[in-house]
Amino acid sequence: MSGPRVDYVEYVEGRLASLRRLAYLLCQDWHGADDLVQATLTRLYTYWPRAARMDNIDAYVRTILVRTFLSERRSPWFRRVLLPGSAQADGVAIGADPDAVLDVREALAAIPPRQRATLVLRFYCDLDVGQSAAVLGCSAGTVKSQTSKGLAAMRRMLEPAWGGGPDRG
Amino acid sequence: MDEAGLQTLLSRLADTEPPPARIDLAAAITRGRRRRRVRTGVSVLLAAGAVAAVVAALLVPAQPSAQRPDQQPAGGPAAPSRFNSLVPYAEFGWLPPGFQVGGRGGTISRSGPEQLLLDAFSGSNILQLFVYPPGICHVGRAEVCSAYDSSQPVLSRAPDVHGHRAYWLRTASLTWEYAPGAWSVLSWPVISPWPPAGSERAAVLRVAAGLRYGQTAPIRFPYWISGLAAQWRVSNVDYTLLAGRPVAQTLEVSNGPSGAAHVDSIYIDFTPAAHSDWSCPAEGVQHVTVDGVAAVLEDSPGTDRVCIPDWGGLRLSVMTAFMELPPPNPADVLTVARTLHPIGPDPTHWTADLLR
Repeated sequence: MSGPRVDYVEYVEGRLASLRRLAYLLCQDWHGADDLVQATLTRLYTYWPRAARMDNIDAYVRTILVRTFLSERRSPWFRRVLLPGSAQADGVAIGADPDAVLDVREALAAIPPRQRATLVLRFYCDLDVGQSAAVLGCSAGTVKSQTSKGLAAMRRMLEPAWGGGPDRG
Repeated sequence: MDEAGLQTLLSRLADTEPPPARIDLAAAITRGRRRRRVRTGVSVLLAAGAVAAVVAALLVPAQPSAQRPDQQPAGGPAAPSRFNSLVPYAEFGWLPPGFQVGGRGGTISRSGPEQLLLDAFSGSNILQLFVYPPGICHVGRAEVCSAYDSSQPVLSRAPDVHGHRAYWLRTASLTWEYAPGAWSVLSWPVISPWPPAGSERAAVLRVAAGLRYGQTAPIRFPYWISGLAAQWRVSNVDYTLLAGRPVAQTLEVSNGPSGAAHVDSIYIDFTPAAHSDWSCPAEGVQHVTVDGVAAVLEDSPGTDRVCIPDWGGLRLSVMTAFMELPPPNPADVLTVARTLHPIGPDPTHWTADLLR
């Protein structure tokens, strides 16, 4: 094998689990997540000579994955219907308090992809506003706006299940 | 639920035990290698055609049929098959006391060919309206409103809105068919009980009934564009309202129709140069000029961005948003930046005549 290919395989094998988790938060189903990771890895190989020289390859790959998600959400084949109860369709183990996990999954699925990606970057990847803006390719102001809208939507959908009342601000 | 709570929930969701991976690394390498070969060829072609592309067609909205009503079927006026991104198709009529739209630092709405998103806010409460042209959102046999980017289970039939069928959705929303085959979804900030009762119910229905469709007020911009490489067309505009009129926040141009599988987008953002809500990067940049004005070119992972700190009183940012073929290319963002003609920070001078 050539050098770049060895590096690529080693890198991907070491990051596959974390990439799948990130993709799962964006897609809410493991099949979709694996499709997204597959597309990301294809794209990563295309750009690997450039990526391999970067100080922070993880940030580069995360950018590819999030933008692939946002881009392909707009294509017709990605417009799937989330049927009621389909959050359980994967049949995976979800650990303690499954209702809460399913609630947040359904709530994430119901908000627009760009808001969802913003929330995942800010609160799962722990990126600040500027870093999130770089990944999403937008201004810091847009990230703040998307975060605010996404949080409001999540709060609206989750608070009955969590015992909170409506926030009248 | 606060931010820490959401952080915990997301971590727990991500930690759910996954099924075996279906990732085919060999296929990724094979396809990636093929793309790499294609990419190299495309880059050569782009370099050769760049000069010709810059003087190509005037910028026009991505959807040529935008805002042209379909043939009107029985049952009410038709909605356009695709919205004109530069002219928001609908606006709020009545809003509950305390709610407002727009203003500096306020809500940002989004106008695209297949979705119009309007926001109104009161404190931390946000009321959102999604408007779709025909064929995007359906209420099907499975009683699911399958919208462009989300789907929501139907709870029950709601009172008709202007004689059109309507449904309560589980996620604190009301949807109604505002024109044949075309649906609106109103997302309400108060969720318990839902469907609402009493004055809350009356308020939801009054907001829905008050929506004004078929608006013709165009979005105003602090710059105009004299031409653009042929592959780039307007796709979405984030906008807000100033003095009741729509003004641009972010312009998105894309190199393909919104339904295409592989589309690159470029975002054009601005702020008055005197404002400090965002600034141009200072490190890891290449210094360039745009029409003789100092600018910086940023080549961060996956992003090409040119940022002009002060161009006629405006700070402007032009940034690639997606990585598709052809690959990110500084020539693209610089080409787009050089088509801009800033007007200045005073909104009273801004123009609706974006494309000249």
